[in-house]
Amino acid sequence: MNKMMTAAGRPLATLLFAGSLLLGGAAQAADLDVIDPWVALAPPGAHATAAFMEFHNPGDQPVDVVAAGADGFQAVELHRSVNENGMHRMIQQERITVPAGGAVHLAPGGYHVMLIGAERELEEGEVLTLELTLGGGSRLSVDAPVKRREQAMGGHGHEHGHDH
Amino acid sequence: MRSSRILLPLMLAMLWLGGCQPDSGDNLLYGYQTPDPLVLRTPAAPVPVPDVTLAGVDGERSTTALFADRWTLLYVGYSYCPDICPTELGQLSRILPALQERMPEVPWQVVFLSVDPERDTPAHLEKYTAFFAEEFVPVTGSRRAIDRVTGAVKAGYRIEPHEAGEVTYNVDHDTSFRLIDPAGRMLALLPGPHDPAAIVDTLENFMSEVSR
Repeated sequence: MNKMMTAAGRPLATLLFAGSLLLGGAAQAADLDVIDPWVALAPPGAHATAAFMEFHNPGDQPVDVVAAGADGFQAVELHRSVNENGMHRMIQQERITVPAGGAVHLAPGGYHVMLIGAERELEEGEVLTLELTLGGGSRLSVDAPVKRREQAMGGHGHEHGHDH
Repeated sequence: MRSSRILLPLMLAMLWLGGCQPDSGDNLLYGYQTPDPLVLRTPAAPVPVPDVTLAGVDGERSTTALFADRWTLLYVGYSYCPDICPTELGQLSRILPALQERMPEVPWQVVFLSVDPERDTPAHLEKYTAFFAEEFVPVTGSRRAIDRVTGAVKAGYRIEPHEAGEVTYNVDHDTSFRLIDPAGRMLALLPGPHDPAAIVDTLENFMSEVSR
């Protein structure tokens, strides 16, 4: 009885193990949750715009986002806006590290995915597919709708008594 | 280390704010106490913007004519800016109608000065600023004219070195709004981050205390 269970159990266990290996690549990508991605509608003729989102890492190891890509742009880069003594600067980032169990918020004035040299003007409401590359080499697709900044940024408590 | 980081900008700010000796007789800023220095700061005395010729949508525009008969919020930036300028201009597009509603007797305007004339033509700037608000007034100019304005109001900027014809360079720049009076003098500096509601309240206080 015991022997049979083991014999029957072994292939199943092997299958499960193989399955978890297969999922390994995707699991690493799945280790990073991407919440509320959006792309800022660019003013006419602007050379660059930015994509924003929240990275959440439910795992127990830090996750690096090392690159981002999107079709229809000359270049896509990871950047961070910083304000030093009232001077605004943008600094390209080799990686954005999301700590274990933590989150990084890509938001106006901070980390962002910089979309450079759009081949055509984006339209409000269209959805761009961004591809994020993680430190282990796995990739993650993110669908980000194009929104006007003031809409996407609304509801952050900056508009007391302002009604349109 | 931490204290020197805080002290240096503080000392620079004090040097600047204390740099000009106030002439209490003719200095409308004399004795003004800002209710919130994180929202609005005043120099010791009004800082005149020199009269130079800039390039506007309808051709040449002198700074004197640009500021005359108006109260101006001046923002210095560039249109190829992917993150901060659109955010700040978006804030100004909320602030301007709120100021007009709260102080209908004051003729408010927003002027966007591009320090990047190599890429920002006036025609391009017109389309760019109209995206945020039709009434925004965009200007740029020769490097020399731009620098006389930014130098006077101490709006620092740095253009990333690049080859001629390259279009992907960045520009670091000051993010404060500057309040200019109809005589073309800077009366106040509004540092970021900019909270539209706080700015409107503080400007209303400032206008009632100083300018009437």
